[in-house]
Amino acid sequence: MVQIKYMLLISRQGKIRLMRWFDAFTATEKNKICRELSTTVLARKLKMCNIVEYQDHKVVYRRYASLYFVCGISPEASNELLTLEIIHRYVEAMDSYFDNVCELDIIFNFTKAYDILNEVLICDGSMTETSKTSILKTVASMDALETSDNLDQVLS
Amino acid sequence: MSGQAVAAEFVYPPRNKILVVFDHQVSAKDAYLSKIFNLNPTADTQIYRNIKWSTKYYNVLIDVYVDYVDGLKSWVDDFCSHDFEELRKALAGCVFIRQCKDGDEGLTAISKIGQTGVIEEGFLAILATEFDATQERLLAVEGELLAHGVEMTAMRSTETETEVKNEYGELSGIARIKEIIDTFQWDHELLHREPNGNENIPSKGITNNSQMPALDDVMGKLQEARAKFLTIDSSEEREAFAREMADEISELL
Repeated sequence: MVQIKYMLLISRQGKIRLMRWFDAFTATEKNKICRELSTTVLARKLKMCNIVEYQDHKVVYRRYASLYFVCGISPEASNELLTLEIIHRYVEAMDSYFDNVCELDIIFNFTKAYDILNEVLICDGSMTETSKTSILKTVASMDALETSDNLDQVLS
Repeated sequence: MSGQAVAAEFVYPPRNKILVVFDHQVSAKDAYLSKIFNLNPTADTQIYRNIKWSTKYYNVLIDVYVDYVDGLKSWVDDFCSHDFEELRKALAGCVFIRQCKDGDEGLTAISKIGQTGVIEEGFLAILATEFDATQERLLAVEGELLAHGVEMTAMRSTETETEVKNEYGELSGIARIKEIIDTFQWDHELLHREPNGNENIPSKGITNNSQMPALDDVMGKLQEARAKFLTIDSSEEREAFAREMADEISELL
């Protein structure tokens, strides 16, 4: 069982590329978390553990190229290693969708990145889909729907 | 345009300039400029205007300013001074190209720019043509600089023009510098997107990639057809045209 409180995607330049909050946080708390975790995670050395204790919960992060995927999890309800797997599954799904995903793909198609995340994690932060094929099928059907909507607009 | 907008434009020129600062010891400076910005450098030119920077998603015209320094400490002091505020506000970022070593005073000076935050949202990057220390020390120095908002990337000895990735799949050397420039948040007014978009997102296995360009053609064709259809007065001609277009489009599909 994993219940993620939030997921952030931080670039090596310290920019937040994506953020999704699955728990209630005030705007001030969100800013604080983003600011503190950007510096904390980026400052960590390569061989350091990917699990960090932060405030009253734990933070699990994983690095892919110049991007850091950071998840805040509640220590009682979540499994850290499973969280690492969820991050990896999300990255795999994006990698397949974008065909070798890079930071630029996420910047310019952030809605798609969120769509894929929505397929992986439900609104309370628990995993909703483990099959990469199912995730990609759903996103593909969303794309098809969007295209047909565009087509309708042209035809109308 | 309102007076305020004109004033704002005057005070804040577009942030489309990249300052490249070479250490005098670096050899083949022109080669670096050429590899990073794909320009033809000349010895007596320090400003290259309207260089086209292209990525998969956008094109942007940038100006490349080149400077050569001996002592970075005094240069950084000048750069951080009030006199250079206008220049700093126009900079998308600074790229320092230098030979680095452990305990390098130049690196300390560069990290001061990051610490003071004078360049605001602009990036600070160091391309270390050489780094005279162990790999572990290099990583430690990279980490220290990153804490101050300065990213250092070292050229690997094996590096040619091809992309070099570390164990995390991160690019290094010139490729990483290019990636930093790619991912800079350019002002929207400066960005030029390709009309047909280089944005066709390829996806493996699930969606049919081969349909994507065809779909663009269909959309274009439909838009053209609709515009022409509206100009035809006779209903018979309209119907004939519609049938003709339907046939053409079904062929495309």
